[in-house]
Amino acid sequence: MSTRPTAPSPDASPARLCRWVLGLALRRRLSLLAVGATTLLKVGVDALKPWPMLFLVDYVLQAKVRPAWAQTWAEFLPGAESPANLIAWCVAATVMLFFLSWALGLVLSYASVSLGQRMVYDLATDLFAHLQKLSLRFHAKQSTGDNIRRVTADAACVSMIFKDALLPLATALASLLVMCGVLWRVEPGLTLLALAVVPWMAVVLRRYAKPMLDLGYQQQQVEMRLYQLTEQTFSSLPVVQAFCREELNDQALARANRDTIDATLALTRVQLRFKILMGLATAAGTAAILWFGTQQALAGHLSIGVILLFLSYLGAFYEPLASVMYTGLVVESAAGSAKRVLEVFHTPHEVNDPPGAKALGRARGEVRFENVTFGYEPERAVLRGISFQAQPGECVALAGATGAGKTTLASLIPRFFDPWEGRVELDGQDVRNLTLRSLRTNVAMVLQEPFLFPLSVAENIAYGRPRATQAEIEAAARAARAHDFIASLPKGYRTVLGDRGATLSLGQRQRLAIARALLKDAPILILDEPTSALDADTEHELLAALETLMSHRTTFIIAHRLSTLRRTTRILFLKDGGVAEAGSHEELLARGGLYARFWQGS
Amino acid sequence: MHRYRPLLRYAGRQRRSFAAIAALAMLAALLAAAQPWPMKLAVDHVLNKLPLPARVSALLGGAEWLLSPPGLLAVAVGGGLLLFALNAAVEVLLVKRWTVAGRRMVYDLSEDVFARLQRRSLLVHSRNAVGDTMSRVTEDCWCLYRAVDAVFISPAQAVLTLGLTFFLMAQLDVALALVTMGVVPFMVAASFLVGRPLRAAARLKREIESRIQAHLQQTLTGIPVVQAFAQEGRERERFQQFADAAVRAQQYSTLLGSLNSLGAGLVTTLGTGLVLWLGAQHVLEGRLTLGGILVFIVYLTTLQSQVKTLANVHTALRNAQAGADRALEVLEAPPELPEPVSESRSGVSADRRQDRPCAQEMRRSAETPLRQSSLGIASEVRGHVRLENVVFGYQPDRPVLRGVTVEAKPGEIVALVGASGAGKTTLVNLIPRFFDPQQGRVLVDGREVREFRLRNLRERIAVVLQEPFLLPISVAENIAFGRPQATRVEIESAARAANAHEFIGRLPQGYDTVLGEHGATLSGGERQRLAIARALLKDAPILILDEPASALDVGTERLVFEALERLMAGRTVFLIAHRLSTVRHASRIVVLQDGVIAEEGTHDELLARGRLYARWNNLQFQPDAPSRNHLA
Repeated sequence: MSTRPTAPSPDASPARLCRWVLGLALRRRLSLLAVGATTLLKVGVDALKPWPMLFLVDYVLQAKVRPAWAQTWAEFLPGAESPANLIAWCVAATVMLFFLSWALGLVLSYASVSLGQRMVYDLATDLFAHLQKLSLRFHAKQSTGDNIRRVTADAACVSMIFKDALLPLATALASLLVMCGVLWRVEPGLTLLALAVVPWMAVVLRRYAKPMLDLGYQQQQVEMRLYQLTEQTFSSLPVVQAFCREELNDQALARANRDTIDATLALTRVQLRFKILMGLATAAGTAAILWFGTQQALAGHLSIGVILLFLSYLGAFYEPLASVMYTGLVVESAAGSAKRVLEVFHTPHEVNDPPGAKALGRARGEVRFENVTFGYEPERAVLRGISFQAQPGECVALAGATGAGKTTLASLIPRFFDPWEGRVELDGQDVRNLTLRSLRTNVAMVLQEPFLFPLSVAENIAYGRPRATQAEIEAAARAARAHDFIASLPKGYRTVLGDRGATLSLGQRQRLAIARALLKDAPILILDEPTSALDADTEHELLAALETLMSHRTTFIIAHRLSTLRRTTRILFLKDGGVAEAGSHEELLARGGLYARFWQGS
Repeated sequence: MHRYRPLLRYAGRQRRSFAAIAALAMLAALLAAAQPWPMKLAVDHVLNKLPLPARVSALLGGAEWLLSPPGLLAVAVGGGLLLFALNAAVEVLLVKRWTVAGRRMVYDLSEDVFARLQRRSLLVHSRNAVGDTMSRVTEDCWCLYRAVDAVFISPAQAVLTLGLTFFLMAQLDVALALVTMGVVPFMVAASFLVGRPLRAAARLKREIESRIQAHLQQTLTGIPVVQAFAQEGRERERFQQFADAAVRAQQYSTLLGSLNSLGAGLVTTLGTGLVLWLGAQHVLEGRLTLGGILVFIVYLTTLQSQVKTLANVHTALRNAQAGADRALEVLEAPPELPEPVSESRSGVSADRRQDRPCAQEMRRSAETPLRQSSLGIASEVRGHVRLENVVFGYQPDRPVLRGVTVEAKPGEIVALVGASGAGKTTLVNLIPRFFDPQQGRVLVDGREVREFRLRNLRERIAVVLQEPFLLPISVAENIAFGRPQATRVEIESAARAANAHEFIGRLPQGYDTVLGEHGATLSGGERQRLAIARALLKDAPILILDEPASALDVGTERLVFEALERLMAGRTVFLIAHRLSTVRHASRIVVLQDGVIAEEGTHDELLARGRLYARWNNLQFQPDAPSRNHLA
């Protein structure tokens, strides 16, 4: 069901985009079939709409000699001998046809909206799945809001292209064909006359469709400035007031308002001109048909009903023609969104399972960095030639100034990124040769920002092990010193957390994050400033509890506090992307190097 | 209605346009009524050769040719084209007039509402979401447009059209005219059901959509956790479930809407059918001509739309009322930050004028002697700030500050520390009078802040806040935010002093580069240096720094601290900081706890005292803070 193999490049031509969208629609064959069948039915019914009226006028009210088809009908209908009954039949037929067309319209809109939505969400699901697998490097560069917009708003482009461009195009072509065919059979001469307005309409549409779209876009842009100005003003009001900008803002708003009126007027002018020119086609067509038709009728070649038929079809010409012309514009305006969607599909997964990747069982926990160099931006390495080895069960601290690369180094172990050079090994195997899933199952992490989900407390703790029992969850919470405050929550472990766990304090969120990592029970544990928001007493207690848990795991801990650093077996002191010094706290202090100076500086 | 008189003034300003629009609307109604008659002429009198009514033949009287079938046909065709031309002309005039007058009226109101809102106290704004405030300017002001349209223009046109069409129909067939007028209200009533999905269904759909939004927000911001715990598959499944629910909700709401529409469609077609049926019988009986029934059919549609307009008046008015109330609320709210009586004026428009430069100059010259005479302080001695026993709460019964007294002499650096929520930001916000204390007073240079014109007061104060609030205008304009007339040289020297010149030089268009929303294109440290340059250029004697270094990126902290040092030199500074290392060189450190001062003194004094500050200092100590040597 993946769209990826067929997804065109972000700069695909409109025609290519349409083919892509059709491909997506074909994934829901049944719905597509329903939409197609209803469309054809509706076109047919619409073409029949003026016929009862024609019958009524010509053969009932005017009592003309009925041609064969009309005679057949008149004989077929019961009670057709009396004109009153025939009137009733005609009226009934009109009502039926109108109602049928109305109902088919509803069915069609239901079917096409459903299919459109289905396509949008099919695409959105694929997009989301793809986004989730992209490396953290991508996510660090890309704003979350932007990605959300791609999934929620931009994915709607497929529905737009399908429902507002391709479907109307197909409908329009079908109904134009049917109407012209019918008219031709009735009266070829007048048909040609009626069709004379088509080129005129086409020329007008061609001439005005684009300027109207452009001016509409400009008008929206100018109007958007109003919103931006008010938004900016009120979201930065402290600065506005502190810097006395109120009067300038007043002026800016007045100017934006004036510009909006001008832009609206410019748009209105073109719209009016367009409307009048299109109206002129209908008016002139009506006049011509009335003129020639009536003369023909006077000469006895034509009936009034046929003139009415022509006039009503003429009125129905405009809509399908317009949708044919607008198709290109709709696709063009959806192309921007489509591009943003396709860009995501064309961002390769940097971190990928290589062919023949091995699944790793439970690791012993030996971690080795060999000459690792890595940076987020090309030519700006954050880590330079890092080499070290951590034995199973060892507790290694990563220390150094902010920006020295501590978090980056830790992120290479679960393969959030791959190093430019060198290798990271787990139990003697390059992590790139292991399946991502098995590698990450072996690593538990507590990140700087605890990121909780709007799930229950229990589900959050069991995030990495959804099948954990309540007893296991509670044990992990107790070890993380979180059980007490959880118990005091309104629904205990079943309390659902607010957006980003906002109802909890940072310290509480950190403890939940620790519980989550503990429950995962992986041989490697990474703690990135896990206790920064805790008071000294709680921290002390927590670290004591962690100590027993850390004893049979390889632990990497990033910390600032002396008390924490003292507990570790080894400290890697990072500076400018390299390991400047390594050793235990006492050793490093005794050495009197950078690390020691760092502390004495206080 | 009485209450809304202040709003109607805005419409009153456009009264000449509205008079023209009303006249044009009447004309449009006349033309609409005339629309089907050429057709009737052709069908009845040309094709069916019925004799012309006396009035019409008298009208065409003179020319014999006109009364012949080809002549009458020419009249019908020409009449149709003429009607089209007139209609087009009226529409052009009408739409243009209404576009300008309608929008002008709305924008006049929105400009006044905006002017009032941006001068309101931050206290008021703290209670309202930005979106809500925005909508008062951008949405609520449209109430005028809707009200004028719904009350004056559309109904007038509708009533006229209804009367006219009924009159004309009655000329043709009184009985059928009455039936038609009787049928139309039913059709309109039914049409209100069209496309109205039940509210519950719509709400359900919105709810699911916002859950999808939230789920995306959660997973994409928590992506490190999702990946670290290898839960991509589960999150995808959850998304799929939401997506299925969204599609189902959409289908459900469309289905309900369709069912409603179906009923409406039935009523409408049956109504048309009834008129057609009776009409056709009348034709057979000879009471109505063929052309006559065609006129009826056309009028049926016209009548529907006109009755709908009338039926909508009430709803439109009610909708407009909600907006009007919200706009009025802003316009009529008493100012929370009254300025000195001698200098202020009353009324909305006067309020907007309050800070015109010339008026300000006059005030300034009037003010200086007062200060010298009454207090005996020379105007050069500036930057003395004293908060005296201030009490303040965002809600009156929940004070955030409970009697705080702080003094800063010119050139002193006063640091405020304390847990979040202790009231640090609230305290400094009293100085530029973002809001007033409920008790106590705030003095700047020996004068109570309430005695200053707001503008004069705020000109003495520069701020650098945690969030730099940059605007999507050019870099130069951002720096000159407080002094728009600053020269490029001044802007550049401010940028240099703020260590910002170098990175600005690297931007695509240098100082003319337009920033993204909230400075999105810059890093945290770069944004903060622009905020510092902005404060430097303002060159005010009092400086408020509210956690200026809490959102910095790695590597630029040092540059920011250097810049801050230059900014602080020679000014009275209130500094709020999280990291204690940044405050230790302050002249005085004030420790706030639960809205009162817990302790106060220099870094060394407080350490020696061994209480709150000393404890935090031990706890918070961070060997990595590169700042400790840079912030004097």
